[in-house]
Amino acid sequence: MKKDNFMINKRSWPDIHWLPQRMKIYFHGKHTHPFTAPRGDENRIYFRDKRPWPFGPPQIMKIEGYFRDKRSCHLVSPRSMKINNEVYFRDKKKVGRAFTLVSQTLFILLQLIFLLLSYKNACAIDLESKVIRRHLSNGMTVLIMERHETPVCSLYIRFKAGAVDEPSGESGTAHFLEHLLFKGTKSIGTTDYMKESIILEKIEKAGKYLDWERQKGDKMDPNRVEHLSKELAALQSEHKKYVIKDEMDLIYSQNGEKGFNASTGMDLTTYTVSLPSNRIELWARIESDRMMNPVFREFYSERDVVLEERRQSYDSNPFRKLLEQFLATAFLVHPYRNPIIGWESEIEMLDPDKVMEFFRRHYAPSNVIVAAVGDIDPDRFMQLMERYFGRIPPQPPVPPVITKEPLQRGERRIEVLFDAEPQLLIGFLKPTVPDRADYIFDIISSILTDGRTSRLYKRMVIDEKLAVSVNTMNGVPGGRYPNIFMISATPLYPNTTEDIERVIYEELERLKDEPVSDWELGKIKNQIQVEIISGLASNPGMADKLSYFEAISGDWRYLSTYLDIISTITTGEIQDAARKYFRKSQRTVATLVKPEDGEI
Amino acid sequence: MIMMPFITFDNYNHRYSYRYRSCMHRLRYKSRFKSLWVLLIIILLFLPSCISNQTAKLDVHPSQLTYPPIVFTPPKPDRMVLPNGIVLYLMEDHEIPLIKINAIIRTGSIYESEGMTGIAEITGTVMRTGGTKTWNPEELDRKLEYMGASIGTGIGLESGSASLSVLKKDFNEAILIFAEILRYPVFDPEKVEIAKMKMTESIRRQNDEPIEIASREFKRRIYQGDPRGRMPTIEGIVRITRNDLTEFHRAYYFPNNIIMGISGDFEKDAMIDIITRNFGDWEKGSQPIPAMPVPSRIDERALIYAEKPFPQSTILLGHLCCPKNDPDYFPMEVLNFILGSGGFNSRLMKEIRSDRGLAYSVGSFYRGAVDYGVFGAYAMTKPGTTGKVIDLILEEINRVIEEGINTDELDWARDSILNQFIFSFASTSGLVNSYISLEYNGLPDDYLETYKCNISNVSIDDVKRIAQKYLKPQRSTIVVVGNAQGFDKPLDCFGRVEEADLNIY
Repeated sequence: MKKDNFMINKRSWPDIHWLPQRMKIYFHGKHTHPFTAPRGDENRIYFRDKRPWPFGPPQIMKIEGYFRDKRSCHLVSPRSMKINNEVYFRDKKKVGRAFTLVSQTLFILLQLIFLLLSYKNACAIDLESKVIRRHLSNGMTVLIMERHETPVCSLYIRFKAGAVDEPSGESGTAHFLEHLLFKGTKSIGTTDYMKESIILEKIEKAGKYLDWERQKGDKMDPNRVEHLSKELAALQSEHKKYVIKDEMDLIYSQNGEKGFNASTGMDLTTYTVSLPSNRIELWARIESDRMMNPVFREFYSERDVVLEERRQSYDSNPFRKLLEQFLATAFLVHPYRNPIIGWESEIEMLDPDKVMEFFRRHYAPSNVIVAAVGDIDPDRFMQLMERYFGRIPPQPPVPPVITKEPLQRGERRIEVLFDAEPQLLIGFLKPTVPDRADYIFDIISSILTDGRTSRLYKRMVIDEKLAVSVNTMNGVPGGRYPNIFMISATPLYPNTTEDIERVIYEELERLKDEPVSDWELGKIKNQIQVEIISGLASNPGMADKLSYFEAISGDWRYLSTYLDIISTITTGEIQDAARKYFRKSQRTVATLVKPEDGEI
Repeated sequence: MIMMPFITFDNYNHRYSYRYRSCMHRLRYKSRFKSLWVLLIIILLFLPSCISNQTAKLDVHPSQLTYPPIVFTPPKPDRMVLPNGIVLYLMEDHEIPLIKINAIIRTGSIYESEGMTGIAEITGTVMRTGGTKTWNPEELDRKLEYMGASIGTGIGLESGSASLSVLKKDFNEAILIFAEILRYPVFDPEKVEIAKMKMTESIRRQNDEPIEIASREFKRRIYQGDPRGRMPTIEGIVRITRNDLTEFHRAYYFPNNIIMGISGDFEKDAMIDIITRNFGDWEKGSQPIPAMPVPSRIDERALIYAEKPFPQSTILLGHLCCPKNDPDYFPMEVLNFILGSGGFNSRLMKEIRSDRGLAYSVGSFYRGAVDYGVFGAYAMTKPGTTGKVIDLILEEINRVIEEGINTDELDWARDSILNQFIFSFASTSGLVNSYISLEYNGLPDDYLETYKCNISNVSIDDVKRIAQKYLKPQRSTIVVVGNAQGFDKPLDCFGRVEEADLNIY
């Protein structure tokens, strides 16, 4: 057992995973009271000595409870102490179960009591009393909202991982991984995984050689390509013997799923399903398996499917093409510049190793938010969660994207040739949540284009008949990093994109010069209120919102405090933000233009 | 020389060398077997205690999990008829302080006279945007938007609709506006102009996206000689006057032509009072609405090719099919599910997408309407595999006609449809909507109650019979949008090619 003992000193503490509710640290001197790490960061122990200089760091007297070691994923608990804050930890793989259960039950009880107490002064639509937020010991976040009207529920799993997290040259990995996770696990989708895995390795090898040969371009050896293609095809047809096709989908649909799907965004990847509420265990069984034991079956034919998806939704659609080129212009270096689906040449070269690497790194429990809304018993649900998802070992936290977009030096303007009628996109770089500016841009967005009385719609579509439509979007293409406030408009013939662009700038200037009217602000607040209330009526809608805000802003209560924060924003702040961000030098403009004959 | 790449590859990536990996793999299995033995011994030793162990259950295959039954009595809205003929469906739901109204009106673009195509849609739009007797358009918008309320109106192919969604506290104000919009729209000339210009612009843009071209050409063909197959033209839109809209509205918007579904946070009796106050004095209409014509013609095989240099071909093929008010509807639903609408396990999806990687979107659709239906299949694929995909789709349709389906497929389809049925009751407003559209389409009001039974009764033979009766691959209309230069197979292999006219009129 000596091998398993290792020493961790004060400096390396941030590397240990902190298990919530299970750890107490006692200090010498005045700090003898138990220390609890601050809430909101479950991944690290932050250890801050608040005593003024020249006091040194506090001396540890005793540590109770245990940690999880980053490398081995085993539980470790302090065995003895030494001076200079060096503590020995012992591998505690087999920690007593009883303690866990007792502490957890206590915690649940406490939460219930707290909820009951807080329910007293909650009004009918007080969200905070309706939503329960808990954590599994491996760091997963669980949000639950009960709605017992119909025996159905919506279950959302969000990973804080998306296209923005892809290494360069591997665009499209996050999205492709999402496709591959529908192909089953070691126990779902196979007749005999042991035999299958041997063929899978061969397929991987053949596919990789084929990719490398094709990559050579002019120097490609056609004979070799043919040979390898044949080999791959033969292996693939042999592989079919062991495959139960789309078994995951089969089981879910047989059990009455609705909306069994997934989506990949810049920031997040989401796996969704709604089920009759007696079948929640099925979801827990399948999804926990999918997080632990995925098998990338049919890798190469699925890669072709993604290429078709790209042709369909990016290359054949004028707006999407315009948006793709616009983002690649607005961001010079930040990965928000890459399309979510990936660049064609990079999709073609994605290989199983790269995708698996992304999975291992980013699909960590601490990176997961589960939202369950519907006919759910929270305690029973948490038991299921512990039982199925609790066995997933914790992982190191995933670092954020390093790259920052450098200061923009001057307007960027592009034309995108496409055989379609003209369209216009204008974007301004801006900060993201929780920056106050993000809230202000939500208000600006509403003032400009929400509804028939909004400024741009009224002026451009109703009064001056310049455009058929005008829209704004705050937070393009994602919300985890500084992003873009985007205005899109479609001119009404014979007006051109220049005509409507001019009018848009005039209205942006007005935002800088005149304060917004009370009527407009009142309208926006009322609309937000209605939106929140009517959102409550839909299980999937609510699961979507809760998990989204938990993932992006770190706390779903973004939703319940949203209106309060919006209410504190003054007209002066809106003018300031308009002046600060709506500047010519900070904008990107893209127009869709019909190509002349033979131009493209 | 041929071996060179292998060597460089291995060297380059030596950490992940395959030989090394597969060797590791074998080792892993060995050790797993060893622990399996240990596990077996432990299980044998502690057999009784292990059975109750929860963890053993975790590795059960998901298809073997069992579930407690669902106890649920589906609610049903109350139906009543006002003296002037408005049919009301009411369902209280006090969960959130919101009230929703959805009304369905017997009208549709199907009733447009020739050369006036587009008038129904414009009427539907301008009812909401063009102001009413009491409110001018701008006041109306301001009032509604300040409350955060929304009112929508529209006229589609075979029905008109109007909806209101508002907080309970603002309901009394909003219902006044809603009633005015239905009863006294004034069609402000300027708003009529805007609607016409928007529609003209959408015609100018009708060739921007491949799917739009494909579905337009498909409809034009399968509804040949039927008002459903008429497409609006710029020339026709220009001719429409405000007067035409007023008349179109007068002809169809009267109380005994309206079914209204109301759901949300209200007391039933109070709601009936409010509705009576706002709609009670609306006089009954006397002019009968003519029955809708029924499209029936199934054409000979036609291949319509729309040329546009998209990097992908869009394929849409199909024909008319059996109606919803027919016992054949249920087996047809099951058939469609298995053939191409049931997700990854449907045949088209399996063959074309997951086995061959030829398409991202592929499948079949079936829509049963009153007295007719439409069946079709679609796929988007790269130009070089266009012919291959058309062949595969036709092959799959032919296969289901010749061979029918098997028991596994039937069980899967039935279970899926039956277990999913509970979602029909997931929202009160959705449920009320189902009831008003059942009444609108003249379907029995126990349709939802008997639906499960009707689906369960479908047999393998039914499906085969239905496939033989209704699927007509050799007589279907095939539309292909794309660039024929890159096609793997000339289109005339599939029939006489007609080129679609993509000019704007």
